[in-house]
Amino acid sequence: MGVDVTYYRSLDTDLLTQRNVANASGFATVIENAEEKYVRRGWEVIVNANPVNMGDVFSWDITVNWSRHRRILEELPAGEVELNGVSLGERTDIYLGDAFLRSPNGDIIYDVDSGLPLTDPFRRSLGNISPDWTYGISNSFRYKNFALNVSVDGRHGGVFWSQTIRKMLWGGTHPATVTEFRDMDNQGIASYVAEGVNVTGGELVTDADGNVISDSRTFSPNATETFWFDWLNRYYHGQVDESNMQDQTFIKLREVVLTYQLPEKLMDKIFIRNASISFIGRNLLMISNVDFLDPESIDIETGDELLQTPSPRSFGFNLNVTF
Amino acid sequence: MNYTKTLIFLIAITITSCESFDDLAVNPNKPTQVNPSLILTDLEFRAFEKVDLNAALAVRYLTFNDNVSDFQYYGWQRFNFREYDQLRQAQKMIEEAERIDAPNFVALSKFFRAYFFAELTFRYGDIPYTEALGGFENEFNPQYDAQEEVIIGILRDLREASQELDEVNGAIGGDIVYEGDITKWKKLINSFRLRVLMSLSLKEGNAQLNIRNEFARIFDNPAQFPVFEDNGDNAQLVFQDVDGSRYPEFRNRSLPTAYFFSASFVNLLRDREDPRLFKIAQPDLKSRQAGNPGFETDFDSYSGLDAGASLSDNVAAISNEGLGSLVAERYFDDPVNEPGIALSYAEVAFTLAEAAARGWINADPANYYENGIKASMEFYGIPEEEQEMYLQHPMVAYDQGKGIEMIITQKYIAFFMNSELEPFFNQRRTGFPTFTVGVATLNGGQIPKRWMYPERELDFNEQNVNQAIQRQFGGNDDINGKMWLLEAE
Repeated sequence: MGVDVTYYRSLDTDLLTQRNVANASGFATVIENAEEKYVRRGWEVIVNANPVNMGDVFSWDITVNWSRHRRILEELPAGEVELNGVSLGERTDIYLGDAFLRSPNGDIIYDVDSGLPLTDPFRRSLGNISPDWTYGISNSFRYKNFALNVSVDGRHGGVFWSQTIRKMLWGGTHPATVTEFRDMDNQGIASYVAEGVNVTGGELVTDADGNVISDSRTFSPNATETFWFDWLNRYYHGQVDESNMQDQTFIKLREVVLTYQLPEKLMDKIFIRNASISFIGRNLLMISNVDFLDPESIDIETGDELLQTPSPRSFGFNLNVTF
Repeated sequence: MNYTKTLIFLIAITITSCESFDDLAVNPNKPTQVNPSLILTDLEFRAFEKVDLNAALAVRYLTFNDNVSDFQYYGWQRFNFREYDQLRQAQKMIEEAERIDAPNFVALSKFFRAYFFAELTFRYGDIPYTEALGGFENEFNPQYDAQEEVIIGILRDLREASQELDEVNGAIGGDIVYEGDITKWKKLINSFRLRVLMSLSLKEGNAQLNIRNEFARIFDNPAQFPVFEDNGDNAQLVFQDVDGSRYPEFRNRSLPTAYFFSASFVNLLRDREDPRLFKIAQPDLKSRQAGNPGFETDFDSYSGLDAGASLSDNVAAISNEGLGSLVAERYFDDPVNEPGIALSYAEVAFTLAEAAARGWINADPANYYENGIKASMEFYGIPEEEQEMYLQHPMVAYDQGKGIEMIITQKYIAFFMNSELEPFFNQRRTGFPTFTVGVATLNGGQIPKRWMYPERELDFNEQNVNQAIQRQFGGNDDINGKMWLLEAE
């Protein structure tokens, strides 16, 4: 058995950075030597084991790897506490997007006339794009002339913005769009009352970052009936990103290879030294928290799923002959 | 001995291979200087491309039925400061013009400065003006100027631009709009001055601006301050069937499927039996399916949707009742379609009519009113007999008692699919025509008066933008906030 544990921590400093500036200066960014510093740190653990070894008859080898990675905004010039929406000491992989306007209790605020949700004029962090951790397990079994390799890997945590599901909910092809409210829509009756609140009075004052300075608003539960179709449109297909955030977590049966080694006795007679035949299946199974798409195929830089092609399943066989 | 020689040799090559760091900062493969005419072409294209479907939703020409649009339902919030990118180019054009001593380009830069700053201030209120474009001097946090100061600066720039343009100052190259015609440029600059002055109609009592006199001075001195006289003077982009130069909505697949006319606009045209309706719209599905003889020129074949009704109601009206006219096919099928107008003679004529109706100038409003209508109809190729017939219509013939309303209503019709937000700004100033709101309108059923400042300003110019918000709107950056321009005095 072997165990390999790595902890790394490296400082990104003296970078060349594109600093954002106010557009009214005539420019959007300025290239300069960064004063900010980032820390990249993480763990990588690899464990090998050979739990069963019965010589030529049966053996089982297993390798497990696990890793986690973080990039943290470590240091800013004196007096500054935030850079591009990332606070000092926090992870840099936030998904910054539009959110619903909410009451202090966290309820979504609805427009009282239309019964549709309102948008927060400040973009908010909607989660971290990088997964909490990733892992892989690879097994190989051998029994007499047969060998079986099975690998599994996956990601845990991390969010992404999904265009596929957004479009399905908008276009009415998502199963969740089929409700009694849809039937009422078809009869021309607005019947859906979304869960949330209406503002009945008062005023909200915020600072430039959208933090609350004073809030004298009063609320009552939303009671405005709206068309289901209107609500779906506004909720999932409007400006707001929050409703389209999904979980990246998945586990995949990445590869299964079954190999048969032809008996040597057979070979001796036909001057072939060695021959084997393998059957290979890739991407055979996936379990994830999100339907209809492959969370692995998203853009991991931006955290966006923009109708990317899912990883395909494939089958094949190998014939290996040595003279 | 050999060792010493080698050492000296090594030191020598290390030293000689060093260049000044400043030299390395310049990319020899890219120009650092250009002729200002090369800047002008792009600037014109960006300035005069004023076909905008979102604006068409906001001002109730069209409705959008794929989505709950923030423009149609008045749920909009922030917008961007993209005009400052063009202002940077205008600034560069001044620099390059001075380098090669081409004063006409300096004058044009002043016009574009005024043009873009006007767009910005009309949209937001106070904006960075005197300290704007400080990036050239490494100043990245411009203060906001009061809207009044911005307007004064805009009018000064326009006055100077009009005076400085002169044929003796050399030719204007790279001009895709007027092909270097100095007189036409002067006309544009003065016509734009009229637009800005008229946008201040609520400020008649402001002694410093003295807009009445300023307006009259332009009108009374056509030799010194010429303005547009016919459609040939229009500031417009003529599109071509070449990649990048096509009509902006060419091949927009939402136009034949999701954009339907607003009922308020169709009714406005139907009530007046306006032949322009046949040029801009298609008969609704119901009439196309019925296919009665001559249905294309029957006003009853055209209908629109209620811009304030809920999306579902409108979609039902389209699919169940066959209601709702689409825009004419040429808007999405013809790569050339029609020129995209930024400022038309029709607009100038209506502005003069309004000034006459307000008593700013000594002229007959009916005359300019009719000229405006005829110019707009001529743009659509409507024959003169039909134009004259239209002018006789009881709802069209000029009535002094409802002068301003009639003028602005006709101006609104003439703004269809051009001049971007001008119909919005005119309505904001005069209240004409009434924009539909309804049960599905967000924003408490009100028509917004402005846009919130871009979030980037709050992120990177926080103190200054907050000052501006505090000063104008008591700290609440609100789309319903009333900017200085809209406070009557």
